[in-house]
Amino acid sequence: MSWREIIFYFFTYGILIYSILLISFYLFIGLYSIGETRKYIRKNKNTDYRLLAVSSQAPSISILAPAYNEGVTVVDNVRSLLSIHYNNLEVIIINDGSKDDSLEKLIKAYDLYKTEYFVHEQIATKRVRGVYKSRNPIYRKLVVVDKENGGKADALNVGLNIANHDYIVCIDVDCILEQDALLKMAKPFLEDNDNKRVIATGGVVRIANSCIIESGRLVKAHLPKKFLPRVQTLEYIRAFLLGRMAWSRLNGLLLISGAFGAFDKEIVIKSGGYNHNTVGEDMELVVRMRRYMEMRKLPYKITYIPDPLCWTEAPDTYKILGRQRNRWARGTIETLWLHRAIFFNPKYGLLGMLSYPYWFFFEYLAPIIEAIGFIVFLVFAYLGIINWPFFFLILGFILLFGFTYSVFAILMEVMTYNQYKRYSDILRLVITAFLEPFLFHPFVVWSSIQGNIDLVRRKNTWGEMTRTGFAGDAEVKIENNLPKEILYKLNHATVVFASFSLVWLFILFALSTYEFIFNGLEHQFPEQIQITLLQVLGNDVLYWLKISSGLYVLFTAISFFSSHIAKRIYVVTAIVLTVTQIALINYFSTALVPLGADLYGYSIKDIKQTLGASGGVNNIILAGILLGIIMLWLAFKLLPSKIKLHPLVAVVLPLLSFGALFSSFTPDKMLFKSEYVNNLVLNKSDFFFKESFLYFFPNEPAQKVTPSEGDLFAAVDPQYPFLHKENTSDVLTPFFSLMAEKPNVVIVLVEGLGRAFTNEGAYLGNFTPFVDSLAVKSLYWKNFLSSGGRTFAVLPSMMGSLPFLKNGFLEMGEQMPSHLSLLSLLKLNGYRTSFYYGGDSKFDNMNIFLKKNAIDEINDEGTFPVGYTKLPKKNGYSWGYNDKELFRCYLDTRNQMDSQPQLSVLLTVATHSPFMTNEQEKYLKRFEQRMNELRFDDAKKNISRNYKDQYASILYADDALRGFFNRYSKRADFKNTIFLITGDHRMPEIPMNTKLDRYHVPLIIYSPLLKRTATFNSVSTHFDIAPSLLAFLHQHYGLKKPSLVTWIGNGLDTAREFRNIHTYPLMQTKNSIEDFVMGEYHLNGNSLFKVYPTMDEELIEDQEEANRIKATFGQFKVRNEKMIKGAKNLPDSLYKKYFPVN
Amino acid sequence: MIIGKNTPFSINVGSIELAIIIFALLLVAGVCFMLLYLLFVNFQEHRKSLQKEYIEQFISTIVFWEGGEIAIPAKVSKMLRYSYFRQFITDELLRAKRDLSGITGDNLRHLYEQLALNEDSVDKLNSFLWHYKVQGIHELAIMEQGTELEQIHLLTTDRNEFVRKEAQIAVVKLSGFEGLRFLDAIPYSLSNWQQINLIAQLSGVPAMNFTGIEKWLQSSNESVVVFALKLSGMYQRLELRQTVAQCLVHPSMQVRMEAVKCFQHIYDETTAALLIQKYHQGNKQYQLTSLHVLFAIGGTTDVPFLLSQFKAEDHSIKLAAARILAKYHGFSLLEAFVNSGLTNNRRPFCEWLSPKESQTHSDVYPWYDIIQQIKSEQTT
Repeated sequence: MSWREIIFYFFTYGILIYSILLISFYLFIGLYSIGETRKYIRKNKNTDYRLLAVSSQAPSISILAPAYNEGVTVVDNVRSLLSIHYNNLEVIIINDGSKDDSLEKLIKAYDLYKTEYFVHEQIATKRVRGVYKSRNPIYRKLVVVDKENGGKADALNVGLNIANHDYIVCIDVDCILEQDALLKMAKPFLEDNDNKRVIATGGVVRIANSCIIESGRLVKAHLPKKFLPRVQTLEYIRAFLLGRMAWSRLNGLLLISGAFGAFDKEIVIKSGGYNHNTVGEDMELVVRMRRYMEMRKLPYKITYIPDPLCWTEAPDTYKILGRQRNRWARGTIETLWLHRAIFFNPKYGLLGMLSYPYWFFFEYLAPIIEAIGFIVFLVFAYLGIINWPFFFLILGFILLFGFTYSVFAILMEVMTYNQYKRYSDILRLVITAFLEPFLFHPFVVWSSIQGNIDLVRRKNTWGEMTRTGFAGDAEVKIENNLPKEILYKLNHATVVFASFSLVWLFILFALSTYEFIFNGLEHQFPEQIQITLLQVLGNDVLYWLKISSGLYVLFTAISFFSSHIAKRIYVVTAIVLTVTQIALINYFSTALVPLGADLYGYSIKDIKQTLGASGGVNNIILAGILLGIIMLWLAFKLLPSKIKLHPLVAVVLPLLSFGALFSSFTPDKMLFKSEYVNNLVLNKSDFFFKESFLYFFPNEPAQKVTPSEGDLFAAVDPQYPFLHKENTSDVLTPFFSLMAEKPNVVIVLVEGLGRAFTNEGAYLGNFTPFVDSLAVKSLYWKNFLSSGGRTFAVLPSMMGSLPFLKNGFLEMGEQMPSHLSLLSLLKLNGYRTSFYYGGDSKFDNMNIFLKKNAIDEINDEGTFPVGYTKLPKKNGYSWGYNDKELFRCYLDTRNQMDSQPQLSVLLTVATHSPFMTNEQEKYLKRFEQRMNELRFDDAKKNISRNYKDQYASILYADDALRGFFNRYSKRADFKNTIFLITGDHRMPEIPMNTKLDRYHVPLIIYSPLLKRTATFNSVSTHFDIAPSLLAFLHQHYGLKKPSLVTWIGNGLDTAREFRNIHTYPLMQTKNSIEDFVMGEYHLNGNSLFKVYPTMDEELIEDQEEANRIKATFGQFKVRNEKMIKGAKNLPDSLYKKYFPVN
Repeated sequence: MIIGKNTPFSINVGSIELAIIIFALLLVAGVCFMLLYLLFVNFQEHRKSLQKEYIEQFISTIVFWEGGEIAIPAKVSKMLRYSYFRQFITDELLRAKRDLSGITGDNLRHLYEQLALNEDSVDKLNSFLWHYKVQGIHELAIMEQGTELEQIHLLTTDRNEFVRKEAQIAVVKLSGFEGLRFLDAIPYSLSNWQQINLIAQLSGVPAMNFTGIEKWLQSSNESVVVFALKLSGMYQRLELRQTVAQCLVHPSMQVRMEAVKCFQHIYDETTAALLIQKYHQGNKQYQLTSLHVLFAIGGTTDVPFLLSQFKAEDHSIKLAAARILAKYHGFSLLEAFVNSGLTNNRRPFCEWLSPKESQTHSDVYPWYDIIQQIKSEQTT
């Protein structure tokens, strides 16, 4: 996969996944808030808040209202605050060094005098110039503090130092409070709250623009007339009524609006008061208070009041709005940065694991991701790789979702507090919701991005105020050197990452060395040991570099928040990857082929059965893995600190990693002649992940391959991709002398029976003396190919000559397309059909296929009569009944005098991993004996002994066949029976020489009806059997068969000389169709091989030929893809006509 | 469907596309429903506002009704068929009744009974849903429907906290101090808010020597003890002084603090000494409370104790102690004490009172500021 593809997929899927998560969160928040709001309203419906106003038991409250250059309105605003009816109250106005006449106006209006006041400086602040009180007892609650300018946070800290009461309420001086606002805010501090201390309470802030306000009081609420304040009204409703209610229910609130919030003074002071070095002091304080409580494990709660309590003027120009949003963005990132230790830190519970990550990913990152998404969209649009219909679908959906969410918020508002009662108000809100994404949202995103940029450029201002900061605060120190700090962190993270990565590389080397030696001892060492080993290690390095690029990004990103967590995540990831590697190595050592995406083609049951029966997983291995994990953990614990790298050296690793990821370099897959060695040198994880990626993100064949001219299948109707005229020639008649009665047909499928060890000329030696003896009395195709590399392909290909679809025809299960086959068509013509299998026919959905072919009998493990012996168990698993018993059962249960012709399919199982038979010792001796018979020299014997179990099982299967034919020959029905013997694929657990070797099996057609024998060197496949047999039987017995068929195959080739007139796809594993044979060529992915008469093959460079074959292969893929997408296999009318009725 | 169609890269989006379309259709249906519902709710609100005006006018005529059965307008009788209207008129009556007592309040109660709205309230009381139950209790209590008192009393220990709390308020409202008998065996905590509510209900009941308070002061339920201490103080139950004194050694800090506060209302000549004796058994908040009470009750002659607190590390303690010393012993004692060497290696206190230019603020901080503040407080 090229780097361009990686980037494309990364952005497309990355943004898609992010959007899904974001939408899910919004849905959750919307729904979760309903319960909390409903409960609040029901609970407080009859609450008489007036009790608190006069009660001596009410909590004492200090209102803190900082004022800066508010001279125009300050007197009225203070009057509004003093009019609040609450006994235990003091109102502290902090004049933050205003340059106007605010203080003078206050002194005059409220008859203030400068009092001697001992300021208990619990929090360091700018100098207090004076504390003023009123001579008029009416204003006894009023305290005015004059101080040097230091910003809002500093002013609030002064207020904290001055405040005499237990609770503080911080408000913006220009806010209009509802009459009962304070009472409602005070109540949560008096409630039980499950014995949790309420440390803060937030209140709803509403937009006051266009509202009628008289004498500092809100008389009537109106929806703002201007668009900008109106859209902010909607935004506030969404945020306060939905978002914060949901977070309040979770006790996960991170923000209480600076415009109006109540706090437990003791906790605020103990937490250190407001941070004057951030513009997000309101959020920062709440996070710090929570941290304070969490660190001390004190139960606490932050509550939230959904009633509209406080009204404030919203910006009504884009300029002021931009400034506000810019500030909010800076405040958010500053707070998140200061408290980065919380990020995914389980010590902080919900705060660390949900609230903080939510803010980071969906509040802070959302505008950034949105902006990146927009830029990527422009680039993709420029490159012309946008699918516009899909783009508009997604865009429409997102807009619709946003609109729905807003309408839901409006509905909640109307059903609860209903501030805007007029129809026209509701309509205008709905229209505003519709316009928001076009006229408001992009500006907010832009302002937020500006905030991020300004933060980096250190433009840390609030209006005219300039924050000066205090020295000596560690957090502040970091804050003031953010760019330098980022560089330092990056540098440190790179060095630490390099040391951890090197440890992991050593581990990978150790594993590969182990794999190399183990396989060498267990199977065989390659001829060129040094070069092979170098290739193994080289592949490891390549895999390590590729993985490191992703890990590096993750590691450094997390390191910015917590180096400790980054290390942990790295170690856990590396251990998981290493264990995966161990498991894959173990698989290869058993199966001798690397595990790829075929894993996904099997059901859990299939995998369990295969692994269990093959002895792939046992307690020793599990214990070994556990021990391995402990050792890996120790290695990561002890070794990285021993590796000291210079930063310049360390930085090479990420550079190389990205180079490896984005380069198109791939190691030569066919470096060695032996397929086994080519597989051995692969990094198994690299192979597995690559295959898995392709499985889940397949390349669209239609885009990759341009079909060649002409039509390979001469399809008659584009609706049915494989339907074509039946024109298979009858090539078998010349070899037979048939009777009047229809002959019986017995097909024996021998598990793993490959040509590599079968019959004369087998390059590993002929380990099937009986099959060989039978071949010379038969029609024998020595260069025959199976259609699949595993059992899943054999039944559909042989019986129905059917395409593979996505993961093999059988994988479709009950959704298998309607089809006709040898089974159903012979049944239609009076045959009785049966299937015999020693194992469970549910494996690979074989039973479903057979039933869909109207089979008369399925005889498998579950239906075997008593008295038959199963294969020995390994780890509690057995594949089922052994081959001899399978044949015995068959012969015992079939009536030899039956006049009805029979079609029987037998599938053996003993030659499957773990290759254990009930007469193991006997056949191991037989194996030794056979090697002597074959005159193996000592070297060859030693190599062969590495696979003694495999060979013993082959000899066993051969013997079973011998017994079968011996008994059968004595039966009455023998003389009118045609036998077909073939392998379902070549057993991969003995190393293969070539890619094609995996498919190379014999086909033997034996019958007493044969009038002459023959050996064919021409190439045919499983696909050809059904068409040929039908053509043959049709010729002699007038069998009813359709004139239109869907066969992939066009019949057996009976040419004696080596040739291949076919063009067929072959499917090695369930995940992808990579092989294609055409003429004398074999295409495997992008590699082209020339096939020789011995079926050996050689990699060749012939681009023209390769393109021609790929184009033909494309024809198959296009048709196959149509079927995957739901095209029918054949018309219903045809199916109904030729499918037998039970 | 393919993303990146006719390009080197492509993504099959068939299933995604389908999911989006299904989800989008659901959203469209949701939006349509919500918009219709919005119209419906708005219509209801509009109708309510019209009815509200009429009902308020009707109720205002009832308030001054004299004698006999109240004449119900035909329009109201007709509308009473609808449950939403009955709830609406009940709410309006409750709103008015909360602010009215005497004959005017009785008229509202009569109307409530005459319209058989009490039956609705009883139905709610018997509902399975907690919020209906709470509403029913509330209505019956406001409308002084004592017939359901026993049933409501049973709910004072209900598992649902909202039902329980409303029932507690109702029984106290309906039967005064007698209603507090649920405190004898309440297993749940009484929140401060609930205590304020109960105290507010009792405020309308003539003060009397109610019984059971001794038992509550010794309750195993900490919140009951706190509440009893509040009652002891408010109703100045001097005879409970000994029992309250025992609460000064209660394991709960909140109880100890409340006991100190209680002493402000039931103190005698021994109280100051007692509070000083127990002074060090509490945290800063407890000590500040003790000093505030000592400031209020006076009578302490334990000057060394107060001077030691004037030297305390915490500035709030210093200030509170200095206030007592200044109030009962004058500034001369403070100044003399300071001059006698409160601050080692520092200038005499008299110099602080007129700090010279050469003196730094740290030399006199914080005592100078504290004394100045107290002086300032006394002059205003």
